[in-house]
Amino acid sequence: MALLEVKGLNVFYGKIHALKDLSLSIEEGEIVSLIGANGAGKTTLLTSLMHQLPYTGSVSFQGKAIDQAGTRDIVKMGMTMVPEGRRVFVRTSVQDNLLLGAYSRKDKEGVKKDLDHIYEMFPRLLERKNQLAGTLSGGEQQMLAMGRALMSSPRLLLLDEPSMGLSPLLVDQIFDTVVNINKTGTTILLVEQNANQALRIAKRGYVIETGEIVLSDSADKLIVNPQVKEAYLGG
Amino acid sequence: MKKLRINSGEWLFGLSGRVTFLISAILILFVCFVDKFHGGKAWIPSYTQHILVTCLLSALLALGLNFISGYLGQTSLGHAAFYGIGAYTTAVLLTYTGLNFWLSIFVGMLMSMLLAIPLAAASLRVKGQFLVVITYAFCEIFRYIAINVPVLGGTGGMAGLKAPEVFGVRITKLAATNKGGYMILLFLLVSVAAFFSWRVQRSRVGYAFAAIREDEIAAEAMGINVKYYKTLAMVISAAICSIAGSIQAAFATMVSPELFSSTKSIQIFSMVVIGGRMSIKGMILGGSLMTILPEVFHSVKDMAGLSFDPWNILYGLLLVVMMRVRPQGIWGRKEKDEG
Repeated sequence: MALLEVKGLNVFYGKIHALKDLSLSIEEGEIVSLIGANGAGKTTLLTSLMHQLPYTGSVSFQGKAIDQAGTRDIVKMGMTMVPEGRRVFVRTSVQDNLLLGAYSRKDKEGVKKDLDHIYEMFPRLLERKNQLAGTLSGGEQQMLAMGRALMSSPRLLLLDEPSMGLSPLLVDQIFDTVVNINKTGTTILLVEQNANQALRIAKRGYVIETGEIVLSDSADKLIVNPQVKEAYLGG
Repeated sequence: MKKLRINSGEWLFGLSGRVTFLISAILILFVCFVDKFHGGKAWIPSYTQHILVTCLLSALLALGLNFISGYLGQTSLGHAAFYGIGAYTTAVLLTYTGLNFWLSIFVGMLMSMLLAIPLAAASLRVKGQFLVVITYAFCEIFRYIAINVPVLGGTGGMAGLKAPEVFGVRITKLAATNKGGYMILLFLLVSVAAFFSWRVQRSRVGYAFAAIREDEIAAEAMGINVKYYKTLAMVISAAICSIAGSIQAAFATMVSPELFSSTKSIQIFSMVVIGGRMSIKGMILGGSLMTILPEVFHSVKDMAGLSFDPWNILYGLLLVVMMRVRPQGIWGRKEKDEG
């Protein structure tokens, strides 16, 4: 059984048909990359999966239908998104940002343990735990956003363009982190414009164009696919 | 008496909350009872006492609106609605049913809380200037109801409300002066509201408010029920403003549609902004300033024989200068920009 199963997802912005009968599935333990150009519907897909947008179609998570569930129920069930552009709480301390990520959890002990774990994974955040998140650099904010999402102890993490606006060195670091997170047992759906690196760390990939999945294959095959090379990997 | 810990360390003039509470309690009691030991001659003029009561009422209103405009960072120019609803509920109940004043406060609170739910529902979808228009319209609806429903007394409102009693003693006879009882009552209510705000600020709910204030979308993605907390803030805020209204009705012994005026709504909002959003002591300062300053300038007008009221000019000037120089308000925490 797939961890996440999406069938016939349709999203409209007024008259604009943003996602057209989109279907995909994610197995437990995978890194799946979704690549596509600007405006293809990548972010729309993630926000609809979190049910922050209304949609039609069927979405099931861990075998349960979630198309009627609210965002907070989805978070509670174990699916969390790192939103595009990080969106950390800039006027709140780093530690409080992380604790806000655990808002839906009741097990104080587990939260504490996870907090230590996050600080272990991102020592920079520990150094800056009392600083306002707005004073962090872009890369640190991205780490904070990922740490905050992990604090809800998700089984499936949705990452929306984590490399956006970061220097090449930081981008490498972020992708390493994604691999590390995956190794601890969290399944990952990675949405990226940086197709090259996204496919390199992924097991499988989907290519989305104007709201439709046009290609889906294993990542190794996509990376050598002439169409993908031409359109997304710079020939 | 139970210890009251109000915002310790960060309270008035850097003193701890308990000390501030005690000092103000002693001051209030002094004002209320000093005349007794003085052969009945009034030391503190009735006018000054009236201003003190109004300061406390304003502080209560500011603490109420702080839940919406402070903790959630949203603009409301309609909070006079809840002030008026509280006042009119008390007036109607006292006039037509002979219900106890204290119970009428609770009925008023319930009314306000119930009416806050549709306002919250309507304002959930909008922000910024659209929210301002909705809250303003909400308040106007009640002003027109008050003017046009005959039992509410029309433009003249309802007068001749009886003063409430505390254990069989009229509140006006409670202290050495006729306003002392109100002062003590309001002082207690402001303390409770301040303590309550302080507790909420540091609770799970306070964290949710902070997250929503900073980034609604991210807050939602963290699993925070944004709709629920926005409604909750509106309901709490309505309840506090409603209490102020009920007491105002008894204190003035009358209610009028003026309670619902947009000037009142704007005044409450400026108390919060000038005092410093989210700061509890700022609410008390803002409420007091916006009560005392107009009075000071009214007397300047009388003394100087001016044909206009200088306060009207200064009010506008003060708001503009505050926005330019200190947008976070007098006691507000400086909010750093992103990045």
